[in-house]
Amino acid sequence: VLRAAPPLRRRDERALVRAAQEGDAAAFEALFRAHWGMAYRAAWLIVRDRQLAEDIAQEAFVTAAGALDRFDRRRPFAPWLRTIVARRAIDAARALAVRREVGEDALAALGAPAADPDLPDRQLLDALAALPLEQRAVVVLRHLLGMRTGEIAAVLDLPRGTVNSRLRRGLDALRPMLEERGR
Amino acid sequence: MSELGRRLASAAPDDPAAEQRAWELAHAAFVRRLARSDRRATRRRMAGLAVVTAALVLAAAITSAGSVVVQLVADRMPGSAPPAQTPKPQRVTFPAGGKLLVVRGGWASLVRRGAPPRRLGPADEATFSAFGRYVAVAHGRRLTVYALDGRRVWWLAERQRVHTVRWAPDGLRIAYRTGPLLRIVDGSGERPRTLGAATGRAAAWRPGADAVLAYLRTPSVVALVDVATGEDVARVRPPARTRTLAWSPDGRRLLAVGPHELRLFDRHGRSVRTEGPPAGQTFAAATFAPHGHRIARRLAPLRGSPPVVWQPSRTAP
Repeated sequence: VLRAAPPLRRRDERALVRAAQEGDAAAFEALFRAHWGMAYRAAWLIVRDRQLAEDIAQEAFVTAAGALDRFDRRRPFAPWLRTIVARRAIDAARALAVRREVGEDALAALGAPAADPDLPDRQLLDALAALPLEQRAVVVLRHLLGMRTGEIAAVLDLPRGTVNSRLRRGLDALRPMLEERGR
Repeated sequence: MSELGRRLASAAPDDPAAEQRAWELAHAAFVRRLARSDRRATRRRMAGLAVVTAALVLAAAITSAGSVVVQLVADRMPGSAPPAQTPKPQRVTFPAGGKLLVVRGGWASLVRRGAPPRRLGPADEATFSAFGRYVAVAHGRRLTVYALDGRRVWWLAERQRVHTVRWAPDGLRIAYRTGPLLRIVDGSGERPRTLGAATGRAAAWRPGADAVLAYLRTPSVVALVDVATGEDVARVRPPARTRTLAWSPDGRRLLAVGPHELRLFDRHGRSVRTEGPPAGQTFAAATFAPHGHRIARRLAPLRGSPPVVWQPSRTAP
């Protein structure tokens, strides 16, 4: 299921960013292919909607393409892109919650992955989807995107302590799935 | 990535069609950005060209040029004084139809007039094959050979970093350094084998079909080895801290370049001439002119010191 492009070495990525800034479309495509999978999956895990996840990841790359000139090539590209994806995914998830037009009972079913019957590790995905957005987002940003506590705190505009407590609560809720796999 | 991260990455769905749609939009945004910043990009490309030009001049001074012809126009005659305060600009001429191999920003690219650069792959250094049909690229622990259309023909991985890649003039072998060793591999990528211990980055194949390689075996010994038999043809004592070895086009002279001395040897390893740098300067690199009767040398410090041409009284016996 995992169809990820091979990870780029930091030096290669820097060379690609430099080339893309100078107009090399092939270099930009290499960056896109290397990071698309993770961006799409992170967005999907947060919003749990394929179409919305596609929009989020797509917009992140469109934003990145337009902002390449302003990107400081001495900094790593991946965290910059991850931050764009994370912000958009969380904004989209919050907007979904604000736009709810049905009762709370119906909302509870939103997390159910009815449209994706063949996904592996389904129990883990369901458990993650059942977490409140605040905890789900922190778990995804930390464990899938590899963001540090400070980065997550900046994206969510939260104190570090709050990020840590949400992460702990989220992992506590997922623990039965993780331990079951370990046994 | 944590175990949980790996499980999430494996479990989350993938959507190649979404990826393709997103790429088309991202690419369109990329093209729009180019159009917006066209004037700025033009200025950047001009600056980049200047960097490439400087790299070419240096490359011409320190390496065998392969199929690339770079003509240094320098009005410096033998025995003339060091460069004046306002040196004349040099011209670099790209021959029509030729391809230029450029390593810049960690990537190897082929450049030719009137066409966009063709990117080959990540590279620390690169060299053309003897007849210019392939490019050997060293990057990290890998040695990779590309065809000119960018197709990867073969690659091998060593335990330590690969560098000092030299393609033999008959096209049959490639010499390269890795760790404390000098290794040889067939041009087809087969039979990688160790020739012996080596040091530094100085190595040069003797022109001709006899597969003789000169390389720095120790800091004070340059070995001339018949690679076909593995036997030493000669051993010579190079200048201190030798950084470049270069053969004359007829294979009758070997030039060893250290910062404080150029030393010329005949094909049997006898020293026939030495030259020191002008007062207060050192040699950074040197190589033979295509006809073999002149040697271009670069003096350090590089800034404000263009290449000058040095003509030994005799380079041929």
